Amino acid sequence: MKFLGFTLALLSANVLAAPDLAATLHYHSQTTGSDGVSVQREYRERFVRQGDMVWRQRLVPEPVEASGGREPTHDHGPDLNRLGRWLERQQDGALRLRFIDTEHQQLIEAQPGDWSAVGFDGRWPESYYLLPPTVLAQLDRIDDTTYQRRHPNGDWLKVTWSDTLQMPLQIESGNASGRYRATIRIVPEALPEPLPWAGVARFEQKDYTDLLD
Amino acid sequence: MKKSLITLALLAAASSAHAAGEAKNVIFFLGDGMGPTTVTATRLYKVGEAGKLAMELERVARIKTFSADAQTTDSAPSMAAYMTGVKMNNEVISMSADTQAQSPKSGDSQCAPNNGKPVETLFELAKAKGKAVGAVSTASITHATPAATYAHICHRDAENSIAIQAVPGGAGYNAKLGSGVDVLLGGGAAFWTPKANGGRRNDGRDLIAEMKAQGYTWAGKGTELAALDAKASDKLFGLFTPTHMDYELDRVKKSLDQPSLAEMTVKAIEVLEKKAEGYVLMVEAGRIDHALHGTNAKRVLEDTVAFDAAIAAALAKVDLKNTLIVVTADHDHTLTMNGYGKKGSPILGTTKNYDDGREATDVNGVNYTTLVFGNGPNRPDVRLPLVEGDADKSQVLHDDYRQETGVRLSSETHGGGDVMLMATGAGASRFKGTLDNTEVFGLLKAASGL
Repeated sequence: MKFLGFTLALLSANVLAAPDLAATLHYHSQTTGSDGVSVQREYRERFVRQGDMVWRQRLVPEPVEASGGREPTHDHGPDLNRLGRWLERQQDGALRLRFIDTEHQQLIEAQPGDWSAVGFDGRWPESYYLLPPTVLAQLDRIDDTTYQRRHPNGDWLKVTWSDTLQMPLQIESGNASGRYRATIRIVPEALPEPLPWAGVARFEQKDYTDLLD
Repeated sequence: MKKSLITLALLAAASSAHAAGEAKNVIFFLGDGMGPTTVTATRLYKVGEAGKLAMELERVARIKTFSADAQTTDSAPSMAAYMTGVKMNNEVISMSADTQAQSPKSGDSQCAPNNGKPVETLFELAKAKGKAVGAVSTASITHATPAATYAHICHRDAENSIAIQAVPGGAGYNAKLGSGVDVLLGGGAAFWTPKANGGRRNDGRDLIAEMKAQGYTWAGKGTELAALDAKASDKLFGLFTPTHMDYELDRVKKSLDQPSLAEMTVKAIEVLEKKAEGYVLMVEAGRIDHALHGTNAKRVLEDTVAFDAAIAAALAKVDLKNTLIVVTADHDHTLTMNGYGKKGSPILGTTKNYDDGREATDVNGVNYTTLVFGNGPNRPDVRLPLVEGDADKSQVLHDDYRQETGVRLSSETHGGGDVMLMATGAGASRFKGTLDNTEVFGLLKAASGL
């Protein structure tokens, strides 16, 4: 019965399109080395999902932006980590990945053969839901919103899931020793107006390979 | 008196032979970004520690690669140094040392008219002596390395403006190429195609049609190149992809209709060798560099193996008594080999201690790969245990696995270390010691009598 329930949940998740959504993603991790030094990392990304479009972009705090810190190379293009990453699922299911460079008014497309080089694994559910329903289905359901799983080696994963939004609200993970712990907190927001990809048709079209030297 | 005349005659004969050069033909192989560690890793990958690659030729030199304004060069001035003997600024292609790089707009040159002067290339010298010339690359044929053989421009990114310099009779043609570059094979059709037809050209010119009108035999697919009779063609033009050609790993796995670098090299030689005066051919493995930027060692090694196969094919085809073969790189990358790995370990795998064969680990007890990069995108917040498998791209033997890096950058950079040069055939003995990249030009010239 439990298996059937998970199967139905998986089917419904795959069949039903998730609602349009904007959110800020708050990343936090802490690791403690064998030398006793703990290191914490925090950053934020903005996320927008609408129809068959998914967009996300690193939020760079104003003081950091103002102080520069960009990679000072002879690069033939911008730092992709700072650009809006725009993923589109086309009618035939094929994905299209483009980077929106608002500052230089250019749209940089990465062809499938270059996805690994730009850090995209080619998986739509991971981008669209942040946590694929197939993964959620493998977790133990604790209550209406909470799911978790502990691996025999002590690694653990805990998810707070919103059925309404079809999106996790929090993803926590860690290891048995407690030396590693990470949290992604998802804070929903109103859809931005205009959408991040509005107006890019007039941008100069480039290919990721144009950035290579 | 008689003895003196004989001596003079011998001296004159020796002088004449030197002027003509020992090498009627020159093939210049360039592995883009193929630093010493890439060569070593390719040897381990393909033939093992004790094996030998085709590129390991008997004459060896090490090459200093710095550019006019940078410790670490990019491909434009480094290849231009080989082709012209002039040290120039990063981004600049075959121009005088005072040329300043000026970024193009949408692929079109924005170089100011008084911004430096063109400097003569090996190809131009060869054409002036009646030789045939050819450029072959797995990158776009308008990319920096091949462009440095036939074009002059203040910024490498102006690929639209580079393309027109290779079209005989057209506006913007580089007239010093005489009848034109006899063989051009590679990627980058978009820079020869008007926007209206899906290309990148803003001026509406269809350069592929113009090249055909100039008598070039055209090939747009691997099968077309394989089918054409090189003996029936003195001018060959083939572009097989809109931008760069695919990595060798993908070309093979996906059965793409693109020629291998070896196939392009052999076809180019077959076209050029008909010229009685000889030829100069440049062959570039352009995508070694791109895979290195992506810290994807598997594609690096597969493309370097393909490069080696092209060198082997050339060695099997030419007469080394009258042909000089040079193999080198334009610059290094930050690839290095970690740890004290056990002999015979897979070079793409995790490091196994040489003494007990167990996984080598970092200070936190986590294993690591033998190949790593000084900088690049894959610097995880927390290093997790690595799996020596290929089930998914997190596993180190997967096609898409990206090696870990020291400093986190969005794209790995070139390295500033010296690179290797290896040579064989006519005139190869000139290549020895530690040379500046500009000196290689003089040696090529001398060896070929240009």
